[in-house]
Amino acid sequence: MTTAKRLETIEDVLTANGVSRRTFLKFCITTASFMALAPSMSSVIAKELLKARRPSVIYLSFQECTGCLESLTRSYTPSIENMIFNMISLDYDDTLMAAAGKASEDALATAIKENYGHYLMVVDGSVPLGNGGVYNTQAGKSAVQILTDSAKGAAAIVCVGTCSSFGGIPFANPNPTGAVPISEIIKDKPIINVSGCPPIPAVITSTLVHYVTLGIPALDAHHRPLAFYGNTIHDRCYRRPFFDEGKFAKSFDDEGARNGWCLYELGCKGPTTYNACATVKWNEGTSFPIESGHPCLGCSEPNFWDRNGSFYAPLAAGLIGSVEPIGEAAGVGAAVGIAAAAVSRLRSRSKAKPHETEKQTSKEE
Amino acid sequence: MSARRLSDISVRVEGGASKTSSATGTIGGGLIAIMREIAEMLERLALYDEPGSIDLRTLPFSPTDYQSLREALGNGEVEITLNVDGISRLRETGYAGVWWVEHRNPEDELVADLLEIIQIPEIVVTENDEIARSASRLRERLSIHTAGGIIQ
Repeated sequence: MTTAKRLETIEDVLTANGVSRRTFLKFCITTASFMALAPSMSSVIAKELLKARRPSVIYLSFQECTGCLESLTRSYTPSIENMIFNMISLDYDDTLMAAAGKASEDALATAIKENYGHYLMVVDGSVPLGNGGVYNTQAGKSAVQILTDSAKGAAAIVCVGTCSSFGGIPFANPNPTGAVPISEIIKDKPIINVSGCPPIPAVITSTLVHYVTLGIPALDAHHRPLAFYGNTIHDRCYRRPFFDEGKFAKSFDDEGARNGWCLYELGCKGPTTYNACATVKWNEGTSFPIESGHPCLGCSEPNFWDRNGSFYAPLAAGLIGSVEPIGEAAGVGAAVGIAAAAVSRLRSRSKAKPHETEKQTSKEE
Repeated sequence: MSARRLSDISVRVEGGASKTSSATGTIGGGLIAIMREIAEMLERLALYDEPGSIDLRTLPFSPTDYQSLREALGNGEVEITLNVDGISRLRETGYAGVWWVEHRNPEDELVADLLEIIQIPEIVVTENDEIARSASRLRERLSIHTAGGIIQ
């Protein structure tokens, strides 16, 4: 194989790099473990991965703080280096790429042209629609224009972070820029939402590995991979036994807090938050917020910033184990007719969407 | 240097979850389910030659539960260490056919923690393709030797 020839499949790349079968198998076992797949799936991943083509990946950033990318670059299993060298061809990322200015915009145009219909688009950040989208422009084009142009040839879109998935902080009340999530603009492409502020590093990379090997993963009503968003934090929390026993911390320095009791009364949103923090954990598996003594903020849920009044107000007792309240709140808002400002209209429209999906899946309604 | 991991910080958790007494050999309530699952997987392996595995990271285990499981399964006769992109330790437990498998990355962090119910974990066995490749590599070297080359 000449060096000039592009390495097409992942097996080509691994063979060229002299990666042993056991090393590869270990990678697959580790990945299956992170994707919360049955351990037996590791051999399926191994088979699929070897014949998979390295997909072209275009990473776009809009209204965001780059926290998601910071998180992604801290993924250690699979590591982002490993992914970039062996599994994907990261053709455009304006933060990570060496090129700048016209050279980087040309790289985007080339990647789209050469892989039209096949590339995976990864998006972080919401997109502002207010005043014609002037609040976020890059290279003289508005975010909404870049998004719609780039999405046309995409095979699928992975929304990384709560901003691109659900609007996030730019979308928070009073949403001065008219920010919306990607799903409000792109309606004709498969969208995978990897929510969280930021998402867990391994959840981002594992979702990408899943896409490369087994295609689009099974998704929940909010289009999030069920492997990571199938359980609430509360369901998997190691402090759950204290909740069941009725042992609660009442303040951050009382006896209950020191004993590691349940943080429900300190506003923990674990019962209504779907994410993998309690099992995958953070900082290379060190811990997660509750393990550090702080309640869950619910950052992977739509409208987490505006929900429930305060991060430190306890959830209403009726919410535990029931359908989350976002849809209901939007329904009330619409019924009362508080839609004076264009911003509010925009907000209730995008809120109504997950509610409708929830209605379809909820057995109670 | 500051502590790198949570386990390096000495934290005392009072009134923890289920406790098992290894002295009396009793199994705590939370462990019974997983032990039953292992028993069923062992039966399937014995009857149908069908391997199984359990990913320990997906279980909402407290450190106490985890330790109890270790004690309940005990140690067997075989321990295998692989040096593959970090160390992997495969230890047969006191129940033949139940392997406790730990995969670590080059930084020695635990990246996968599994129970495998199988004769020998797949990663240990050398595949026929690899054996064939070894054979041809060795033949190649021998042919260089007979052609006057030097084996180092």
